[in-house]
Amino acid sequence: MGETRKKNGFVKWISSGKVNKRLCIVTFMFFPLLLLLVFTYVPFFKMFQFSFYDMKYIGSREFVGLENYINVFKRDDCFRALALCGYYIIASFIQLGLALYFASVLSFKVKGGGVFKGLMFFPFLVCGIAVGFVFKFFYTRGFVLDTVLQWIGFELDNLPYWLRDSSINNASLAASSIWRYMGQNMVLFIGAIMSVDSSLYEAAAIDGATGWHKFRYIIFPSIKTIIVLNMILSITGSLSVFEPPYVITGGSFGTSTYFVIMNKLAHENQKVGLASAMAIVLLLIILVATAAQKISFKYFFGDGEEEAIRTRRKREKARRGQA
Amino acid sequence: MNINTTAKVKKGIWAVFKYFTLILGSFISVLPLVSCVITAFKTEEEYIPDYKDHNGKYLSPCLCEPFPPE
Repeated sequence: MGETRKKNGFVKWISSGKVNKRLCIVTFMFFPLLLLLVFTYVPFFKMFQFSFYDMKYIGSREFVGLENYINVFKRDDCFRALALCGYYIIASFIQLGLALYFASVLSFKVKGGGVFKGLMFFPFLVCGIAVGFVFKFFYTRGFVLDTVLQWIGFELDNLPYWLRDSSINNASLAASSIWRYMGQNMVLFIGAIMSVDSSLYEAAAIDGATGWHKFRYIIFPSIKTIIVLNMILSITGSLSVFEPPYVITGGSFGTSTYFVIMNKLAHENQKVGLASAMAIVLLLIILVATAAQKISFKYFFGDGEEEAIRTRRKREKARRGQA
Repeated sequence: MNINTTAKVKKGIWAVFKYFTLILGSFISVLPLVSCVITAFKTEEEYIPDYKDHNGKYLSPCLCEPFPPE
């Protein structure tokens, strides 16, 4: 009798609205959080732990403290590789500029706009390894790029070896990166531009605003947040480039980026501790770069609805001058 | 030239520039893929002579990998 009453009480308690709501929240959150913990945070903290050891994947490990971190800063190849990211950072700015231009053009009425959008977005749908192989073929001496340049009038003998010549090969690889990601950035920009209230353009047209004015005073301020997002994604991506140099040149002829060297150390040389330390250093560099970018953007262009710090300071200075 | 004509000329130049960049951008976007697809349909006989011409003379060793000689 008592047991039945207890059971009934439990059923009543569990089917009550308050408990149900909490149970729902816990059940829905449990598996995603578990997956996040098991596949993201635990491996990350394990890697952080490995960075303090001299170890291989199999076998004993020896605690070496900060030695791996010191080695990262001492090794020439690590920082030379990091300097190579400069090519990709410059490329990311070109990519964003092109994406913003095409997005601004394609957001308004253009004949065949859908076709142009589709064609330009298409490279993003191809997987990175396939893009690598496509460009390996594209840049090969006497193949696609050289053929197209010969149509224009260039002599094959005057053209450089796009992947072998160390003065140009990193720029060639960075160009393949622009080719792949420009469409993605463009689509994000188009989405943001489309969300701008069209009455603003009409009002601007009545006031005699030119296309440039519309871009400078309506489009640009309205899509600042997306520009910052794209910039952060592009620059963090530039710092951790892996696929183009790994697939196209295999890291030879001075194209080894930081990630390619890290991969080589971890998987070929089995220096797991050193590679982990490199990954942590890269993470810190990315965090610093992202913070610097956010701060500088806030200073020059403002944050969302917020006014730019530079503009506010200028206005305050002018007001003080008047007083 | 009155203001209307100047505006019309500017608009025309902008339209030409706009479509030129759009066509060029689209061409560059599809060129590597299309060339790859066309090559995929080539027979070995059509493909290898061209490769042999450049082999050793122009191709770097790392680039020989995807196109190994017979």
